[in-house]
Amino acid sequence: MEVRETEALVRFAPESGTVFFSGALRLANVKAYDNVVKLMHDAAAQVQGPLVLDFKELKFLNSSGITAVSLFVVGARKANTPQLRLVGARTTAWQQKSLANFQMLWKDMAVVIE
Amino acid sequence: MEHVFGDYDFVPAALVPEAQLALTLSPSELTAHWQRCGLISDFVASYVSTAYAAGDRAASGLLFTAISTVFQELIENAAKFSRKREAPISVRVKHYSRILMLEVENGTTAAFAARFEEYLAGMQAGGDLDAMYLRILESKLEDAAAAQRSGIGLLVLRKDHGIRVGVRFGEDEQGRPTITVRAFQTLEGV
Repeated sequence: MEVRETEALVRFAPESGTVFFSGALRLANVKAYDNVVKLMHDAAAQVQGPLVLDFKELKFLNSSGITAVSLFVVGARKANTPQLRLVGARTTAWQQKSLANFQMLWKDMAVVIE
Repeated sequence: MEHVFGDYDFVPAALVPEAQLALTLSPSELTAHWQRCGLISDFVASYVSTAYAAGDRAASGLLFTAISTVFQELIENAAKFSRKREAPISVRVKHYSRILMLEVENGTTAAFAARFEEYLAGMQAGGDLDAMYLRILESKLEDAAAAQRSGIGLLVLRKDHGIRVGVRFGEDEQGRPTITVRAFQTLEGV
């Protein structure tokens, strides 16, 4: 299960319960992220345990993308499922500086910067 | 009437930059091929970060991604909220050793200028930027139209990236509103 955008690939690996993001997601508005959000919802419906969102290879996520992921996180918090684990890299600016924001939306969620 | 918000004059105009560049773009060429916003952002980031090519920061990509991330938000806003497609977007980049000034100017509508000024006032007066950030995102759950707009771009730059933001509300020669956004990025510690 994957979504390809001009500069990015988003792929769900069911064996590890992980959505891998790579490239650059700088789409024009929040609606343009619908396919990515749908993939996250579909992945959430498949996992037994926590769903991992692995952003380490994603160099850029613009504010529309941050909004789209935030709405997904808030939806998961309200449904109390699935448990989420976000993984980022300290060598990429948006992850180093903004990834922790998602935890403000759901304090029980794990955010790991490697 | 011309007026400014925030840290618009953070760097004195008389200070000579080490490097500078200027570009003129049209909103239509950006909205027609949206990835051009990313190309311009990466170009600006490469142009500046190459000065640090011998250092670890550029090698790690952190400086490059930091600059490109900030510029991307500015150019996206200009592309989306320009008054008319033919109204040009002016980009000016000035690199003062430890400070980078990214400036984007565009023509806009009076309605958008008023809405933007209200947003800035909220950011200035709000104090707690984390609370404002959460308020904006949570509000999108109840408002489908609001959910389609981000509304957090400049807020994230200030809150997370430590960017000093200044805005000048002006007019062009025909008296139509213009908005000039300046973002000052400290390159040390990125």
